[in-house]
Amino acid sequence: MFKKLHLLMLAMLVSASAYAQSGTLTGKITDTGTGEALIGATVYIQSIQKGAQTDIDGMYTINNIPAGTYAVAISYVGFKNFNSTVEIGSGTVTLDAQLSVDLVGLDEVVVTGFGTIDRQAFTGTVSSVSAEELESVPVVSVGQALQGSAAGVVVTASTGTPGAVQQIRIRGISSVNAGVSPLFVIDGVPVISGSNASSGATSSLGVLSSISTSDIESLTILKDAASTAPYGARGTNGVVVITTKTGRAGATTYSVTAQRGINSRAIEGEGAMNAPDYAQFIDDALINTFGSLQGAFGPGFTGTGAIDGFGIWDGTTDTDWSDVVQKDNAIQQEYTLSARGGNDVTNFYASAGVFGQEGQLIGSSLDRMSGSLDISHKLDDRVKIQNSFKGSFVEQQGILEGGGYFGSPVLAQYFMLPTDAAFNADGSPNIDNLNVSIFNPVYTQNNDITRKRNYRVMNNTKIDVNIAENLMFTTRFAADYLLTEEKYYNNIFYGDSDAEKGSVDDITNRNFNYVWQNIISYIWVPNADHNFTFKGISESQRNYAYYLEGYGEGIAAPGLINLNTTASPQFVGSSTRDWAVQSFTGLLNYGFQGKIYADASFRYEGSSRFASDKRWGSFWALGLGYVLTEEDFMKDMDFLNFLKVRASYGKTGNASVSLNSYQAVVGFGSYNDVASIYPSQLGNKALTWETANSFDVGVEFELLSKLSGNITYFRKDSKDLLFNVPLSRTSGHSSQTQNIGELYNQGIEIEANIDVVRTRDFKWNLGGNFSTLKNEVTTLPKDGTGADIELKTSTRYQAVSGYEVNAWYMKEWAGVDEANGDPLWYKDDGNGGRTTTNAWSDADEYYQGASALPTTFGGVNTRFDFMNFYASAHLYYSFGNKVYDNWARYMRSDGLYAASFGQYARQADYWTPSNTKAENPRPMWGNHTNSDGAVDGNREVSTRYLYDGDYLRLKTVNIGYNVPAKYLQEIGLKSATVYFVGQNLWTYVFDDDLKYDPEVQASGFTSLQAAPLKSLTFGVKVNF
Amino acid sequence: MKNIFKYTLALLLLAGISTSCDDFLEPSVDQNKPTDTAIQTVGDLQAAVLGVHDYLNGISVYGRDYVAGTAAMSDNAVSNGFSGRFQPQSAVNFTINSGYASGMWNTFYSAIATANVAINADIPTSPAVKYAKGQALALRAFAHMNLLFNFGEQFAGGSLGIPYITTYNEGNLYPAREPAADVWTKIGKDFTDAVAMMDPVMDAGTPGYMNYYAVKGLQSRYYLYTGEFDKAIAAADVVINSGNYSLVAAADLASAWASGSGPESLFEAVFTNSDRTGTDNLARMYTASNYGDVEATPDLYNAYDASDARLGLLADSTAGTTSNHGDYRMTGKYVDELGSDNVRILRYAEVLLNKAEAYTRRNNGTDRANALIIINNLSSTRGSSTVYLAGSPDEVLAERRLELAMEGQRYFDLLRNGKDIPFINTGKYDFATGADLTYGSSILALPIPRSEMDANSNMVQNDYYK
Repeated sequence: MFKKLHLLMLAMLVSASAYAQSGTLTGKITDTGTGEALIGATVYIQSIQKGAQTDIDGMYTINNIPAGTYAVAISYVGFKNFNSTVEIGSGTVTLDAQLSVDLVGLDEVVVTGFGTIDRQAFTGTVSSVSAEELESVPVVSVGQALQGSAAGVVVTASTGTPGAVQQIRIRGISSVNAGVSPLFVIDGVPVISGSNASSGATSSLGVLSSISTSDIESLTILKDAASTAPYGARGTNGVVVITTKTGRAGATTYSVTAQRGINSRAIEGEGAMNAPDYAQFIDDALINTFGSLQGAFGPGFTGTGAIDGFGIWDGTTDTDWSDVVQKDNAIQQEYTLSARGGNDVTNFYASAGVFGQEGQLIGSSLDRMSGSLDISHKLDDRVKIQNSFKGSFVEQQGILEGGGYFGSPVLAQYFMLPTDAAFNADGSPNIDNLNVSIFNPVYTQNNDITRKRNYRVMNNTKIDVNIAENLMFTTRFAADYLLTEEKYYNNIFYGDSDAEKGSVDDITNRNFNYVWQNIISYIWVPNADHNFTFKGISESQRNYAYYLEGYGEGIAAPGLINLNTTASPQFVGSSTRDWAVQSFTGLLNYGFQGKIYADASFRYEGSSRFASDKRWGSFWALGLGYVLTEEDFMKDMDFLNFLKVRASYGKTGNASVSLNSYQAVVGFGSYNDVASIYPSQLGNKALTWETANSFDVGVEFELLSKLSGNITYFRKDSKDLLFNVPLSRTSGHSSQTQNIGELYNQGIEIEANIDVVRTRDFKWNLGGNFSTLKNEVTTLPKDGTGADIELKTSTRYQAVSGYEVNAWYMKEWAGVDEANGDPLWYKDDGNGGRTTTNAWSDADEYYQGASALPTTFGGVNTRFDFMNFYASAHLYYSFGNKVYDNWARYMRSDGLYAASFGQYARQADYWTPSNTKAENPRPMWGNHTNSDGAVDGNREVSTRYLYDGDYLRLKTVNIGYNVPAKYLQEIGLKSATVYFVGQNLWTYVFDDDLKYDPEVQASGFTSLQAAPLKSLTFGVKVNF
Repeated sequence: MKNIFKYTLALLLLAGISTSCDDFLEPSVDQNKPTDTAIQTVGDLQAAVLGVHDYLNGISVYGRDYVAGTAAMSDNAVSNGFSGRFQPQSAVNFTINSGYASGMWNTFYSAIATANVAINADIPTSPAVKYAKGQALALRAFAHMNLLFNFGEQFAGGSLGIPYITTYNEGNLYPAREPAADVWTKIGKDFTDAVAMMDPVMDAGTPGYMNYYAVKGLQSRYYLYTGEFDKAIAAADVVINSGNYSLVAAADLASAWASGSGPESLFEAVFTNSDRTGTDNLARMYTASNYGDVEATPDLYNAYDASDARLGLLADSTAGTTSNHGDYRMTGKYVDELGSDNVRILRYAEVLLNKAEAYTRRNNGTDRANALIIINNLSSTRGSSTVYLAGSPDEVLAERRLELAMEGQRYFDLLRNGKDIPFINTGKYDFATGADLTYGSSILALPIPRSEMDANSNMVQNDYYK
């Protein structure tokens, strides 16, 4: 940025006096490979800031050029730049150009958030996603577009509900207890991510969904120490740099898009048991336990079956509740309008959009309205002002999900009994004749409100001042205000609050974040061989959060959904929290003869999350790049167009720990409505930054002008982990955050792209990325006796030395004893082997060889262009993780919850004397272990519900047609495209036993979340 | 050139502003206060004492689990598992992952930590300060006593107790278990010290707060466990002779319970409309129309005399219906399904029964006759026509069962007297093992929670869960 401006100033001074006569420059721009005209290529004479774009025939014309000699630059996205010198007199000069495809060129610059760097000169490791790639996927949130597009990046949705938080993991899990989400940077400014809402029982609403993907110019993922250096202190988990669209000199281009489509669930998921099977299942459970139905119901019982005995089935009703709660063909639509243009002095980009998506579960939806305006203006030859403003409103109608909520439609589809009718004869929801404590979701979804709204305005003002030759100053102030409103209204008559006569819970969370940045940069070019760029950056960021909640019960009449109309106020609460970060950063880039590059950075950052004497941390990085193809000894290797090796090493940080963790504090509660005090946090004055040392080495190449790619190896060693060291509860506290423990992540990332065929009428491109990941905890805190303090749960080793973070570790299911239908688990036989036991408590726990994080993953994409048609497809693959169905213990309860809740369809395959090779044990009333007559807590945890998470998924299929320009010209259009996009159309799951969608939240638990969606969308995009 | 100067000046100014001092990084703490300066006045101290109380009404302890759980473990109740709750209690069989065990362990120790903040607060003494610290001492003793009942090996064939914690964030944060005998001694000393510091004149007049007579009443319970019967009788007499308490007439019993608090109450966990357990309250566990997992046994139901007002507190939810299968419910003691009823921790009737038990177990001279008077008086006040004849330990225990049914006492009443926990065959779905649990069996101590075992290598697990 700076470099260009500077040259521009210089050129203006030179050309100031040459206005005697003028001429015209014209010509045609074509593709070297195909001979095809390139439409929309830019021809620019930088010294006089005049330019033009080619028309549909590839022709351009620039008039009124003062006589003189000029450097002309011709550029087109995806092609190598063409530079030439022309002499303009008083007539017309013709300059035709043939541009050749630049495979690396798609990423010709790297956007780091603090400016752009030529790809060639960059020593770090990044992955990029372009606006074109983003536009081709109709998604609400930018995170969704990342999946499979970039090596080393794992993206999972927390739920399939529209607008939900996307969980992004870059290069594994760098911490055990501190945050593992990347830092997000929008237009040079770190922003908040995740959710701003309070409720954890309802669908999440990610704050990133307030940014429309159509406003995004590029997405860059910074992965290693050198590339994350400008954000070193918060860069351990990687950085996602989002650059939004800005104005562009040239005639105003209007763009209109319209998309409309339908959603359904990507795969069917677990089915629910039908009524006849369910009736039989209960009978068998009772008879197996009590010998006979009379044993269960008393000697006088004369009924024919248990359902009869309980009087809960009419013998004909057979409801599939998953059909009841699901909506097929839910509508999704998006309409956007944007305008982009400008002149030498002022450029602008303006956009407006609406997005609407119905969830696949009844009662869920998302709507967004958004607008943006970006204006830049040159005050004089030294000062440029740019202001970018974005505003949006997002409303999510959510559901209760993610746990055993009786009002959750996800839970209802399994927990409701198939023997109960969903609707009465008159079509109203059946709420009076249910033999289950779960609420009929049709009624509650129609009468209750579970709503979140995000109102967000972001303003980013930047002033560039060209102080002197090679010396530039930039100051930027960005403000981001986010208001999140939550409303949870439960109706008077039925559901969660009927006993309270209805309830209203109103919550607002207001978040204000500002960033002030000052950047000074200086370029020093002592001679032709060496050039240096220095940057000094100071940054101050502060965040204020304010929470306010009121809850009341007792509503006078339906439809009154506000606190004012509740009779009995139950709860009010408010709290304020803030945090601040301040940093000083120095960056140095050095280039030698265009072939050797070195980067160095140092950052000194202070965070309010640590005590005053532990607040400041120092972070640094070094990067080295060597472009071998610039060397003479490589020049004769014609097949090799480009070859660069690069390496980086540095120290990054992570401070994603709860606010005020270092302080020993008491909290305030109430007892008998009088204020009370209790110690709420033990605190740790010594708390400071968690750090990681990252090493990266990679090769970037281009072969035969067809194949380009890069291969990278990385290793990231995290230490001084912000670790919640468990305490003896006798202390009154469960844990204390300490800087202790070490772990590492390492892996290989490969990205490659090949132009298989490239002719005038037919093109075929194939690309892909591949990542491996290994994660291991190496050092843990020690207790008084010197033993490791390990973090374990009944399902996994959260942190145990020698295992990955959250390694599945549990009792191992050995199937069903064919002789008697007992459940079997493995245990050590004492001789180094294994034997089985029918007592869960006697079974041993074993490492399951995997965690929730995939170890091999990536994407394959391909694109065909034939005449004006194109088709592209993107396949995502993920291997090496395991998925645990943590609610299967209810739905495969072997009789424990037999009469309480419905069951999975697969539970119907249980052991009987005539079905000895069954999947499930002999059901026993109220006792699924049927071995030692006892149940408790997590007794049911075993690998019975743990599945391989390996899968392939066709993320997107995109088929389109570019309407030929000759038809468009007459109606005044520049271009028009009609297209069809399918998302998640096909999924292949390797483990036959995993019925759930394999794309579960990052924790690896299915957790009764809404399932991911499959969508079919039709769209039109028109530029004029 | 002039411009360069101008811009450089502006730049230096900006740089100067942005290089601000550490104040910028000082976070505000608006909801909390630093622990070391939190308790400065007697008001702060009293708030900390309320903080201890606030733990007692948690659902892991007196809000639900301690009461319903120990009931299900005893011969008074079983879990039918309708919502999957209280089955391990019914079977008296847990795992180290038990949320019941960890909830109780964690909550009582958190209460103790809060009590220690109060007890060790360094503020000038005054009568009010003394009284508040006395309350905290009594609450610390009470919390440790409950922990010892549940986790100690004294009834389970062993001698290990629990860690007795008297400081907050000092010394060894990973303590080992102390012998049960030592723990009993320390509980007794804390109660005694509390009594010495608490002037009954300063009692707040509500059983919602730990008070002088509540401590004496708890002492009468405590001394039954240590076998110090003289002291038990003396402590009970302080309560009885205060004249502050009386038994409710049979006709008023149901309404006294339904009132949410009552004249017989010496100490109770308070719930208010704005501070209640919500869906997890006791009423919802006991009532058939809700979760309803915990049913009274026919054995308990049938133990009442037909005219006993206390039978009226129990309901047979299926009585009169065609599917009558004897579904007995304790609906009268925990009435409000929203959970705003206070949970009685110590009632006057128990103090009388403590005295009776001390008499009958001491068994000197006229002791049995004295015990007989107490239990016959209680029985007749409740409207029962049962007349006890011997004043024997079994009779006292039988009357105690009727009076304190489903209040979380029966299980430890049996164990205190060295008795087995009888298996009650309800004739229907039940999770019990089908046999009595023998006194001294290792299964009678709850597992030390897994989280504690994992965090604290000095902790020793109870035998049954090793």
